[in-house]
Amino acid sequence: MKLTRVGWITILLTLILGFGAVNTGNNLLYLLVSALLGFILLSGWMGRGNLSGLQIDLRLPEEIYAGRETRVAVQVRNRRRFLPACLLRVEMAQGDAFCPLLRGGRGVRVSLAITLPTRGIHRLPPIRVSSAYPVGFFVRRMSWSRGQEALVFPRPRPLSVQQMPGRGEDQGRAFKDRGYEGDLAWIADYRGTEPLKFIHWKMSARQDDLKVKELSSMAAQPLLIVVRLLPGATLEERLEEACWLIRTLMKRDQSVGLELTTTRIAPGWGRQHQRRLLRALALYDSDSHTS
Amino acid sequence: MIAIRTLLDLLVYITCLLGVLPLYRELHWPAQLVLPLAFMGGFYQDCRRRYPVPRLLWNLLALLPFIYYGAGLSLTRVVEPVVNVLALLLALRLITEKSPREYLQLFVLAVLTLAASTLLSLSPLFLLMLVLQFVFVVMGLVLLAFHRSDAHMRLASGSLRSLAGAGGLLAAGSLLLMLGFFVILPRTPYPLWDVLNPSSTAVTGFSDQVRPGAFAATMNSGNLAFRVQSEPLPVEELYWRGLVLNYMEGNEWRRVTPPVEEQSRVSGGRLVEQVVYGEARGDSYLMVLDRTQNIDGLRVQGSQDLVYRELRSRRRPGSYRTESRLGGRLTAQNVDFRFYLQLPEQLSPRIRQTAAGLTSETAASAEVIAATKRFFRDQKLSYATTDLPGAEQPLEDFLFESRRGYCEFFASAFAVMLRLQGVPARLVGGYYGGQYNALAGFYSVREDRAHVWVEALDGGVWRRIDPSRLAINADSAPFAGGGSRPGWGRRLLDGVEYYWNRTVVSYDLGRQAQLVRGAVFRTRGLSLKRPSPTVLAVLLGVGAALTAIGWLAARFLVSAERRLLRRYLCLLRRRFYPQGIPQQAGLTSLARETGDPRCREFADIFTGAVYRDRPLRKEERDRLNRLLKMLRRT
Repeated sequence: MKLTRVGWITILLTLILGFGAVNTGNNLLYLLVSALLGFILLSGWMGRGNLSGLQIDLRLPEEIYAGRETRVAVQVRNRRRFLPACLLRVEMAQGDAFCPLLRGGRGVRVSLAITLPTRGIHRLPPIRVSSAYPVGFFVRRMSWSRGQEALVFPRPRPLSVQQMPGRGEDQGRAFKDRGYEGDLAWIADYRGTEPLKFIHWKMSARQDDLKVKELSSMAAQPLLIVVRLLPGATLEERLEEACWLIRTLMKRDQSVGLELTTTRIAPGWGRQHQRRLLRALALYDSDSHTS
Repeated sequence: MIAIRTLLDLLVYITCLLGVLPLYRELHWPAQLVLPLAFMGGFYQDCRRRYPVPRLLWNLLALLPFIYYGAGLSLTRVVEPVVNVLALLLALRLITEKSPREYLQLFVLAVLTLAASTLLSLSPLFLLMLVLQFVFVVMGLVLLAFHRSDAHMRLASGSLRSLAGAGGLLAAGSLLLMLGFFVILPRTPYPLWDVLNPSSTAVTGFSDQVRPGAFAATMNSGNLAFRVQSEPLPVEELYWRGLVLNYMEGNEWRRVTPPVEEQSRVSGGRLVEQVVYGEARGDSYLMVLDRTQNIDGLRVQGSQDLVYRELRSRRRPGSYRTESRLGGRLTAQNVDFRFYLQLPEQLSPRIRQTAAGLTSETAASAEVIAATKRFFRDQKLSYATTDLPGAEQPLEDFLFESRRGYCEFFASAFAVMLRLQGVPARLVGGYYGGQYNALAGFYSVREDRAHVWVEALDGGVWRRIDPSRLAINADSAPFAGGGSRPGWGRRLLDGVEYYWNRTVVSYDLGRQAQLVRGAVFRTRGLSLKRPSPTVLAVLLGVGAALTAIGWLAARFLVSAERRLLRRYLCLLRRRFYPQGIPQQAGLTSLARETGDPRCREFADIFTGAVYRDRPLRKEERDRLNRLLKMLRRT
């Protein structure tokens, strides 16, 4: 709790009037001083209740990248039924937001911009809520920290077109595969796993055996990113480039895999797979592996 | 959406108005002129949001009142300059462009102005002004906190209502706390700066000297002299004794220290206990019912002629308890006859001759008194307050020429006649009569009831004689209680003022000590005695009311979700975690650890609603209540 200038002025005014009241014995002045004392006391109590009646929840975005500004959502809820929570300044690291009035039983979601400098697991800074309510005599501060951690991926470092996979001889290895959306490649025996729509009914009727159409794949070639082969000067740069590659290629629906010193993740698709790759990059321990 | 600033402006003007109103009449003409102009000008500028004169110029102008009134400031002249400076500063701030700083200054100045008004008047109107101003100041400061964070903030009407509720709660709570603080704040036995308190500048009827003929007409004010909490008493006994005038010099009676060897005692009569609430006076004489034998509640110096003086005069009303003997006898021993027979040399020869012819030299005191009364009646003197005798020979003019005069003439002439005939006599100054307020059980005695009568020594007893009653128009004379009876409105206001003075204005260190003593006594009494059925019923009632309030508060101030969670955690602690629930554990993990399916169901339903930021539905609440009941039973 910090006393503001308004608070100092009010305390000074009360002291002056109190001094006058004691020395003159004027009971009307005593009444005024008593009212001011009651006011200071009650405003302190209300200020405390203003913050203690809050419920704070933090929601992080799915992907946080080192050195990049990220917006985290802070859900503030006033648990009191009738009394409002007012003049709330919500701060977290460098980000802050202001909520002038939150009525009883209501909630609000504020968005704060934070930047985490390096990759890895970070313990999040506490959320600080301060308020000068009700009359600005004191600024009360409360801090919420549940020891929440955030996984920070490396900062994506773009590669030039020349450095993109497929251009160099040693950039990754291609896989050939059957697909479901290309041209008809050949007719094969039904193995019991193919979808019914691929059964070639006319051919099956002629040969008394179920035949299926096999199509060629339209997707790009699966790619395995070998971090040690990337052009960055340092390990961190190569991890950042790998991060950029994963994001860029998977956005194009390309199947991407990753090879770190001791870890190898086979190529795959989807958000979960992308998170798995990025997580591996984020947690890659430079101390225990040499590049 | 309503702009905060508009509301803030409105509150500032109301607050300032409430601060200025109580003292406007007491201000000097510059302040009286400037204030209304500042209110109108400031309001006009605030409406248009245009301020042609820069703030710096107004700030420089604010130095002028300081210089002007500061020059006339002295230890004995503090209130007047301070009040005028405050009013002028307030006017200047009203007309200045208002930033949060100016708003705050205006609120502070408004409070200080109201505080300054207590140095001029102790009227109960102050309480009304204080409550109103306080509510508006609190609301204003709440809005100012919002305005400081964003000068252009607007709030929806629903939010404003919510804010007004919180502000109202703050103001009401502060005013309730005010009552508690008022009782316990430290007080000194006597004020150090009494000079600052409102003084008795009003015209008073009571005086510490009697000088018949000094004025051609008297002008009595209707100001209140004092109030007395008492049972109703016969009108003819309502003589309020103030001081005894025992020495005559020229035409003037005054008081000198009575002979120390004289001893007096009040005996007989009916004992009457009263509490006197005196108004602020310049002198220190205490008004008591004739004849009072004891005063409690003040440090008092009493003399043998039943004159009581407070050891230190006060400028604020005080109260004291008296014990008087209604119709009692004041017997005196070792009376210095020469002292009470003293007369000035240049007394009118005509009065001397008349006195000498009334009775023989050997006549007893009772005969002399009777003969003098007869003489007064025969002279057909009339009680009047206009066309009074001149200053040259006022008593002679009164007795033989104009035959008109008020109580001072009657008493002075009567005492002189008695002394000339060898009967010790003295004048007693005080008040006669008073208006009884049956509603509140007190007498109001106003300044126009000031009165002077005579005490004559008759057989070792000081007898009260009121010569004004010997006037031919005594029954209709003003001192006899003639005139119109105040209406109910006036009596009601009088009652309010009485209680105000009794409870607030005269509250002092003595009353604080009395409260503490009373509390200690009552505590001891409770431990010793069994409470009566009435006390028991009251205690039970208060207990029931507090329980009901507590239940309502728990019901409406705490949400249903929170209440359910509290009950659930209480049950968990009792049944599964006697050592205490782990701090960081979540509801689901706790329920899993218990292995009880009902706990798991509770956690699922509860987290399903609360963690999704939605309140529990009715059927969910019912189910949770049932689960809690089952958990409690097993």
